[in-house]
Amino acid sequence: MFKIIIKKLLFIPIASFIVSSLAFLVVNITPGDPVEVIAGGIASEETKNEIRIELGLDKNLFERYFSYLDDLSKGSLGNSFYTKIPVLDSINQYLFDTFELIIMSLIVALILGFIIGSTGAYFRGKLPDKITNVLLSIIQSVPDFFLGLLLIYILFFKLQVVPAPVGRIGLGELPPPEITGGMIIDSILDKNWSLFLSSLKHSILPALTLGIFYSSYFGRTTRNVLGGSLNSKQVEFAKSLGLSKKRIFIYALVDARTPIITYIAILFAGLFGASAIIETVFAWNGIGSWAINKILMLDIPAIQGYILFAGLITLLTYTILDLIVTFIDPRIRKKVL
Amino acid sequence: MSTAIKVSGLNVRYKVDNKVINAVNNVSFSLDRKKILGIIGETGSGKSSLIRSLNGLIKEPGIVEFKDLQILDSQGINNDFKFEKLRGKNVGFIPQNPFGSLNPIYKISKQFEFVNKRHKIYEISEFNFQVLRALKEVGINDPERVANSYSFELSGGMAQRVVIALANFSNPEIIFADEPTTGLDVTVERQLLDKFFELVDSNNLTLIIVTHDLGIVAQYCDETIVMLNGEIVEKGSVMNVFKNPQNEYTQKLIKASNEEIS
Amino acid sequence: MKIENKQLNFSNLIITFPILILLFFSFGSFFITFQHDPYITDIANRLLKPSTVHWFGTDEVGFDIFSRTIVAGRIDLFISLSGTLIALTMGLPLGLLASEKSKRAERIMKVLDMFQAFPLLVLAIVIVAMWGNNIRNVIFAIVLINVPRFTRLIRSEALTVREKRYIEVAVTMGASNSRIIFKHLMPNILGSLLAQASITTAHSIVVVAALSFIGIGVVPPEASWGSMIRAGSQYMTTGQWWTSLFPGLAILISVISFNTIAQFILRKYESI
Repeated sequence: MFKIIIKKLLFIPIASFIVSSLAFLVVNITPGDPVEVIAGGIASEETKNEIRIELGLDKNLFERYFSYLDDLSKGSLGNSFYTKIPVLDSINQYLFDTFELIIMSLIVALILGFIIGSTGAYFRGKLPDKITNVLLSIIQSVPDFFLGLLLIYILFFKLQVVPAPVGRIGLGELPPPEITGGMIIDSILDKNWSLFLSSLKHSILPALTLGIFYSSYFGRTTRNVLGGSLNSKQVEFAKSLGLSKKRIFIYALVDARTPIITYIAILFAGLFGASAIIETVFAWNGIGSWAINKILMLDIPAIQGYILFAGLITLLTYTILDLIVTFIDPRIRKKVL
Repeated sequence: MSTAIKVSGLNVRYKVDNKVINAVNNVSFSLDRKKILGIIGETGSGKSSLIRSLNGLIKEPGIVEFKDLQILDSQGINNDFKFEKLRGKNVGFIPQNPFGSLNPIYKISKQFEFVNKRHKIYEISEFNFQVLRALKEVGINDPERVANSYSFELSGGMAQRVVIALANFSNPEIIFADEPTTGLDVTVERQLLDKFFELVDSNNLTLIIVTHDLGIVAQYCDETIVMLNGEIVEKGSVMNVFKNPQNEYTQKLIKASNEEIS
Repeated sequence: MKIENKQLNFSNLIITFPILILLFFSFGSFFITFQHDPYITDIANRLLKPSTVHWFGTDEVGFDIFSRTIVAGRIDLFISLSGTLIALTMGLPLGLLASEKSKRAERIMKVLDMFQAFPLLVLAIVIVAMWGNNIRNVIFAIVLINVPRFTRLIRSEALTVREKRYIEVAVTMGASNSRIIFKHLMPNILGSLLAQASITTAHSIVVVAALSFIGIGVVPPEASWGSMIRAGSQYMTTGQWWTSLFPGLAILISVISFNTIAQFILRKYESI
């Protein structure tokens, strides 16, 4: 029934509103005075007042909330306090850089996690399973930024197989003309192959860092879900019919598709926030490192905008997931089509 | 050789946390071809584990040990590889719940296709005909509709018939059935049982059927084994066991169900 | 079916290692007299490799890494543990409330669901950055991001227990709500609660480290594993691996220890 789809889509505006309000709340209900921190110790009372007015902090909570909503309705997230650049513009500029990192990390995490997890599931209870379990636990326990530093030491300093972690491309190289904002995509669009190669090479370390770390979570999920599927009655019957190991594995995968796809979506949404720190380690210049800089400077409009944006991305991801999951169930698909 | 299956010293153990559960303890029996064996037992007697162990279907955390296992012409079976050679080709298995066993995203005909391709049973030209024939053989009157359906579109009885048809598709010699009609409505059960044993008879199948229903054993089986707490407490021909039960537990069972051999 | 009991006492021994390690990190700094004071810099001896003089080497300002790693453990573990325990204490009543069949319960769950939409680490960063760099605020951030988790856990456990027959009986016999809670709910929940607390503490250690890694929360000259890793980070490209390695390993070992303890509790709890 299309009714189902419409009902789910209707949820988005309501949820977006709640998410926006929460974003406002988090940033604006702070004890203490951010103006103090922004102004620094030696500023005069006048300067502080100017700052206060500019940030709109002289008005009370409700007035601020309404002007925030007013801005939102006009499609504006305000301007950065320090650079005066519209927050939305900054987000636009850096968004695709982060997406490229997330996609590459996701690919690594999914492939690595799947291999480790399905090995554990297939040999459940036996030695390979125990080994993969320990492996997953260790990977999960290493803080991702520390892993990044270790990889820098091993792959860059010792083995010298990757370029220095100075950013998305080498220090002397010039970026391609900005169409989407994503270095890799833009260099392809510009047909600048040396830059494309360079940006790929510079992506190895950060993508590996995030990819290896999150492969542990995906691997664990894969192992548990696939392990359950391989033990299911369906697989048992298929085995009794003498179907090939490959066919049986496909059966188990198909049986496990919903939780696996759900987890991929969770990973994607999670990577959005998690990539922030890694971006700072590798000077990646995506939304995450931009946001962390803004947070450390207490650039309130920017912080608000970022939180709102992050919340919306998560919301969107889960809604799309919901729709996909509904459609991969043949029972529902048959009714709709 | 006239022996269809011979097993001795069968043990099935489950290791959960630090406990070991002995599901099946030192079971031995043999069965001739074309005979029907009914394994009687209540829940927890080990009968489900027994029948699965004979088909190599026990998985972690279960451990299976045989002193000796012989199925048809395959002797000294002790690893999964040997079971794989038999499963689906010479040995069929009918589980209890059809909806748990049938794949919900493939059409019924597709599932027959997988079996056909795997064991190279029929040529493509006669495949469709054979599928319809197999479905009719289990008492499905509109085989075309069923073949084009998904498992969730079928009723319980219909789905179980499909399962039987699938298990029998490669014309196996032995079939293991684990409570194939438990859970179905009584009227459906009757019909299905009749059709099922008709099929067993016309195909000269050797059948081992697990059930808690003494009536089924009394009516259809040649031999019987009674299980209690993982061990065989009585075995022999249905005639003898039902007329002269030696074991106290068997006596209780028979008394409770009040069956006579017709 | 016959059931045999085979207790493997060897697995009970394994748990002593993580506990000892954690005790060492938590309280070791009170009992060991360090060769070098963890708070005194020594620029002349900066970036020395690990040796018999400085077991873990020195960092860029000459801090002795060994002593600082141990001292940092005290603070990082204290923050993670207290944050987790406070979150647990707050999550307990919330979870119980949320397990009722009431409007209030539905409202609590809706708020929690909304909360999940935000990247929690970023939220923690925002809170500490805006409220100020001190231990109290870091603990608060840890509490905030973990209360939802405990609320959910307790709620689901409470729901399962509520379903059980004996609760129905107790209610019919007129037992009051609090009696139900204390006598019936608590003992059943305890195992998984403790295990979850252990896992959450492990996770919090990483969050605390991440915060001080980007420069907020516990900052130098106070010792914290995250800030130590930060101080050493630029030297990874130039080969002075020891500056970041040892605090990182300390985090790794602590996290693994807490996770092992959690597994242990879960296994013990299941066989009851």
